[in-house]
Amino acid sequence: MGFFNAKRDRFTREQQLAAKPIQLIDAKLTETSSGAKLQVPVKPRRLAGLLLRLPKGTTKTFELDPLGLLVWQSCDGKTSVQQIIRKLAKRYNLNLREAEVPTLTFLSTLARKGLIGLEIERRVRTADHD
Amino acid sequence: MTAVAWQGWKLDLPEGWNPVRLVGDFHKGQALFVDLERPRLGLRWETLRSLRADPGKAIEQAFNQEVGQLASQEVRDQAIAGADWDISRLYVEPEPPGRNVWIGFSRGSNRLLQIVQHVQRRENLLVDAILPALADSDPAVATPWSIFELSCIAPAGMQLRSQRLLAGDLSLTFADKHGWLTVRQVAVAELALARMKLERWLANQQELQRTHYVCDGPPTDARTTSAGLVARSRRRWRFFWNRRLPLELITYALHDKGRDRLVLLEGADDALIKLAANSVGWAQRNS
Repeated sequence: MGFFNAKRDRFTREQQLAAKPIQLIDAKLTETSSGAKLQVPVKPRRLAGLLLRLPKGTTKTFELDPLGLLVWQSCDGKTSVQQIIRKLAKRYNLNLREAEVPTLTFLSTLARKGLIGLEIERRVRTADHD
Repeated sequence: MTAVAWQGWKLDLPEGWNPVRLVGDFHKGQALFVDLERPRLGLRWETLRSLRADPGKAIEQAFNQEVGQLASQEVRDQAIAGADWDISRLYVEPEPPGRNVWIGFSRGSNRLLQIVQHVQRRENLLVDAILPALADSDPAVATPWSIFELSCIAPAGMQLRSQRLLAGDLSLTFADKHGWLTVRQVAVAELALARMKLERWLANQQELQRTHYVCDGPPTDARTTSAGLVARSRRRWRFFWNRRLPLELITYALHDKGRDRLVLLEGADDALIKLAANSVGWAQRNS
């Protein structure tokens, strides 16, 4: 195994659905007629921080539609992904699969942007050998 | 239970079992249904090659392939009340986890249908709930279709030409020798209309055909059961030689307030479109 291709942790579908997303940043949420606006503080990254000076209090705004807002508000560290999917399906009278696909896509976008983290329970595997 | 109908067959499945794989056409194909946790049910269908072929033998071969020779000796006949299955046989896994397998032959469509249910423990779901509602229809008659939240009845003789099953935007296009019919459903209407007006949805749907068609006048009120708009497009002059393209296309954009869905329909025959429009949502109305 090389240094640069270290094996990534792979999670089962069961673990992914049981994961509990949690908001990682202190964002300002403003509800609008078409959903909400989410203002998050911008933190310059290492190299960009040296080259580019950002004024204090710089924020980035994400526009959320009502579905996105519901998902964002459910990222409380207590509600699992599966529960969010069911909640969304029930609220908008959607099929589970139709709710699952956008929810997972949206959560992965939020995670990629560093807005949420996912708490995944890791089960310790025990093997019984005769 | 929710109805799933595809390529002529129809079954009732528990809520939360959804298709993740739909392959093939009327003559041969397969579907796989999963819930949030694991695969639950597989379905295969195949038309017998010739009318003289022995369906009994074909079923025997299918069982041998699916469960093996030893297990296929335990296969028993399974009567399904009210259905026109010429042959119907069932294998129940004696020691789950395993697979319960049902294979039947429908003379109406001349097809073998094979259902494989993955079972973790002893259960009678297949026998008690799924098989009694199983139906298979002849393509020569109007065929029910139901996938995810989109359900409609395709006019007789029309077969599925293409499908686009995106979360929240489902579309089926049926075609025969004379033309085609597209049924599209967008969920949730409340959010879709907040994003774009109904006129814009209608115009967007028309634009999909802009290579061959051009809008012919502003939209007018659609006289259907759901409120909405209708607009017409005419074939571009430069395609006068293409007789397969109908002269005129009619596009409907309807707001089904009861189900909170937008329904877009497009085709050349107004009467057929209206028939299809009335049938959209049959599965939800029946459940």
